[in-house]
Amino acid sequence: MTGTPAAQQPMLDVRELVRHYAQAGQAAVKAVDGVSFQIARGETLALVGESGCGKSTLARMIMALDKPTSGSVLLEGVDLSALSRNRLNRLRKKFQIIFQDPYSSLNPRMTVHETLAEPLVLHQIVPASEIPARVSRLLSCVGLTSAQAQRYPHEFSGGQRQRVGIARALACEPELIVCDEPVSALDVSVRAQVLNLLQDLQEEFGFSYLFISHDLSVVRHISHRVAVMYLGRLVEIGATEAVFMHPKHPYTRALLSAIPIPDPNIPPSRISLRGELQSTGASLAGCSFAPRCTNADDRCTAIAPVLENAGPNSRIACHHWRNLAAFDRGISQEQREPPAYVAAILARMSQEAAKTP
Amino acid sequence: MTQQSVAVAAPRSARTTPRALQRLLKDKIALVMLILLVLIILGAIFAPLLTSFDPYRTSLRNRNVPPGALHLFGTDEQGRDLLARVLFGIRLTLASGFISLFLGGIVGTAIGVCAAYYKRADNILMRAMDTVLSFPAILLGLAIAGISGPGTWSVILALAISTVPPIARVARSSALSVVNQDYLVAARALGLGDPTILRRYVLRNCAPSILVYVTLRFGQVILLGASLSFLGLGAPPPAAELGTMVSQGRALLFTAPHVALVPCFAIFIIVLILNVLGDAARDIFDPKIQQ
Repeated sequence: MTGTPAAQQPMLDVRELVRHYAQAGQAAVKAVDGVSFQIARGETLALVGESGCGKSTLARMIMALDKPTSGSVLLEGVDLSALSRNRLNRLRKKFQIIFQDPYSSLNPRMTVHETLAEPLVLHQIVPASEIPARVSRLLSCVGLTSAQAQRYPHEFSGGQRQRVGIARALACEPELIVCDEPVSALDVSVRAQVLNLLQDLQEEFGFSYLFISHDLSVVRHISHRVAVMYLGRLVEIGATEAVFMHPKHPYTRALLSAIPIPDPNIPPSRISLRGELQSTGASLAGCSFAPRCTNADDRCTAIAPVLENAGPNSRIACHHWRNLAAFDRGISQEQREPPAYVAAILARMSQEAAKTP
Repeated sequence: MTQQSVAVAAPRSARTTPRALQRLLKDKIALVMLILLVLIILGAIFAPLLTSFDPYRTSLRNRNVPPGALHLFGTDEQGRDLLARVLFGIRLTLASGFISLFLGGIVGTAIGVCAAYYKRADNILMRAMDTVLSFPAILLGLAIAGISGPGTWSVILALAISTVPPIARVARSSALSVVNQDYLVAARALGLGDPTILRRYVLRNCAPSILVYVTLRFGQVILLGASLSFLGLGAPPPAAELGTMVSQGRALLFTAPHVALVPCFAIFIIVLILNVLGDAARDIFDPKIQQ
């Protein structure tokens, strides 16, 4: 799915990104501690991990809203932190963000039209005379009507607001969209609609997505590759199906085993982690997951594992991944179908598509 | 498409204003007060048309005349018509209150919003505000009058300076709740410049609470201004100013009480009206109730 020629520049190249927050009298909080990955054009990379593992900090640095302590973010080969403020602001139309909370991501004192026209004017996407037409096109893109353009955000439901937020991100014709948990604040039925919308838009316009989520079923549905983050570091990155079917890192296994399997014939095989989530302030010499890992030994607590290649398109940060017993969630092919609510909507959509030639 | 959206938009945007108006109409006391205030302002503006008396012409034969048919509010110890003087006094008092609030409001809002938005400037700006706040307005007025001499502009300046810190605090606290919202992050992610973000995002969302506070503050400013001129820091004696008039009538409190009581009553009514309206404005414009 990702198949890009090696010569082609990645859309986004994150190199050894570090963000430490200094604390008076205490060790610095290592929110992001040396994260590297790339996203190809038209690819969706999902970033998963529990709360507080540094996902949102990473997103803020990629959006150049927060300065990294060290490391760099390259957008089409351009280092964002090396740009002047003016040049950065001009480049910002190429990468946009969709927020988690649709209730706080829209200015309550601006109509939808104002919100959507703003990026068009700022980046001179279309001439002034075409702005109303473009705004209604953006609205129809996300399934809203142009009659709703003169309303204020509080007149919309959560799902509709999130659509407006997506339309705003689309307005400046970006190439990369960072989705910071875009559906976790929405209820299940709306969630599927928004996810499908994001996928359709990707097919139409060829966006790259960095899709931050903690909802693994959503991730499996939408992403091409998955990166698993634990306490500021990537522990595993690989093609979605490979990671979901054969997770290699102990943390990924524990995370995936928490997804309930809707089949009474399969005995629950939940891996319980011992201990508590570490504080990011504690500086560990070894693997940050070692205190909670059942396979940890002296080497794990002494030396931090680095991401190493573990097959095509797969990288693991673990000393023992070769020696771990094979992990199979025992999910047959049928059960890997999208969740029922998604399937129902997909079926309805294909029916409607069939009706209209 | 566009025409359709405009057509649909018209009744919608028109609906927001009547919503505030509807609330006002429900609040009967506020409505009465608003009508009274409008009447008083109109009376102050058209004072020369309402009374044939010159507020500055003395008439030694008609000194200390009690309220009656000819002189509705009576005359003072130099025989000047008190109705004319009160009307002109209200004019001066309201104008100086408004000007000082306007100046103080603009400076205070700018300081408060900048303190909230530029985290580095926060401490410097707000500690400076605390310093100003530690001087009572009366003391400030005395100092300014000492430097530039008593006069209406000294009072306005003292009132404006004493208005800046509280407005800066209100502006800062309401701006702080805005700067952490995702829509501000979105604005920065779009590449908008700071002036646009401050104006279109921060200020637009803070404006209601600042306006409500300014309305509440108006009554206090009038009262303070009157106190300052009562102490002799305002316009010098021949001028028709409410505080100065009270101060002059004080000596005659037992022989001709109306000379002091009439301007007192005028101050009382104006401050009462402005306070009630300030409370009403808070209820009407509270964004939480609106949503």
